Amino acid sequence: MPDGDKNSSSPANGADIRPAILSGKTWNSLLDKIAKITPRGSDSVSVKPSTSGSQIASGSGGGELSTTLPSKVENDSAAVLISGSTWNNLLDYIESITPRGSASIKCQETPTGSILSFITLEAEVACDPGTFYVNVTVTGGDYPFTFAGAEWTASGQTRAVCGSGSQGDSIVSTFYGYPIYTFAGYQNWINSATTTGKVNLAVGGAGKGFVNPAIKLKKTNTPSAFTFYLQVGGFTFYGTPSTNLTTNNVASYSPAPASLFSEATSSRLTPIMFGSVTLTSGRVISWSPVPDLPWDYDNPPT
Amino acid sequence: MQGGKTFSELPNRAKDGTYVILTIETWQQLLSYIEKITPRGDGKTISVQVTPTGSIIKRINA
Repeated sequence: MPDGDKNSSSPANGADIRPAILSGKTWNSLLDKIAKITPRGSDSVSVKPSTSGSQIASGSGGGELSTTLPSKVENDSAAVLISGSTWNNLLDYIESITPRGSASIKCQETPTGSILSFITLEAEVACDPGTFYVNVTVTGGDYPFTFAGAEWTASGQTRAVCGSGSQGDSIVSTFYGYPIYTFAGYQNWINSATTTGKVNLAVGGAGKGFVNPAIKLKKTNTPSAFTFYLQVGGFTFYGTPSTNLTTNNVASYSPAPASLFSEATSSRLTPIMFGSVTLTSGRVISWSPVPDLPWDYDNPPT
Repeated sequence: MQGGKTFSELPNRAKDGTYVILTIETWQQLLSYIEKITPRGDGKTISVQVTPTGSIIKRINA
């Protein structure tokens, strides 16, 4: 049985009350319960509350909220009349403590709680601390499966694809402590396989003289060679195509090729940072960035 | 962000300047939501320690 606060500490259901007139005791019990389930960070897990929930990720500390719970009442037996503003404040608080997962921690909702678990303990250990990397999950096909410098021994496992090499472009800004080369970006995701035998799935690129965090999938001239090319500027994560898939072809991508190119939204990287490719064998390779930064540079959280 | 409860299952908000009389349905809807967002560890990689001021989330064997 997962741990966490027991459901029995919740106030009693109001099955025999019409309408549900709360006593002071029930109201106070409700507030105690909500306070107890408020996610708090520790030395190994971070909690970042916002109006859209509390993001729980690998890290440390956090959990301080900008909202507060309504006040308790002194008389346990008196009925509590809730004002509209108090009710709304309560809902604001509950929304802000709603657990949210991240690239490193999964949040699985169940009727009896939100079960939290690290997505890939071994993957994080494999990469240098403090570096940007990409979690890659593989399903389907035969195992063991070696790809992009990591090995999957069973379907459904997640492994980190770490960076190597160096990046020569100068840093023009930082974003959440990470060096960024530009906020205005160039992105394309083109499928020209029919004419050149090459699929280039990329965010950022040398075409504009800078390198954004980038994921590239390149299918080279032969039908059997497929390259997973990770290029993340500023994170010592630049190199030649790291791994060839020699036994499979590409069946489909997510997002679809050519769906992302737009000058108006060119700096919004979210769609490609959470992508996948399906091979004709049925094997699916999907990826997500670590840390899970707000990749929409145009609209960073306030 | 990945995973977590959608706000659409929360009860409706009230207009400021009014008072709220909860129906049983709304009360139970609130309790159901609270139960579902209660942080729980998976027992393998994450533990949750309940305190009066919050649920401290820790990594197991960190």
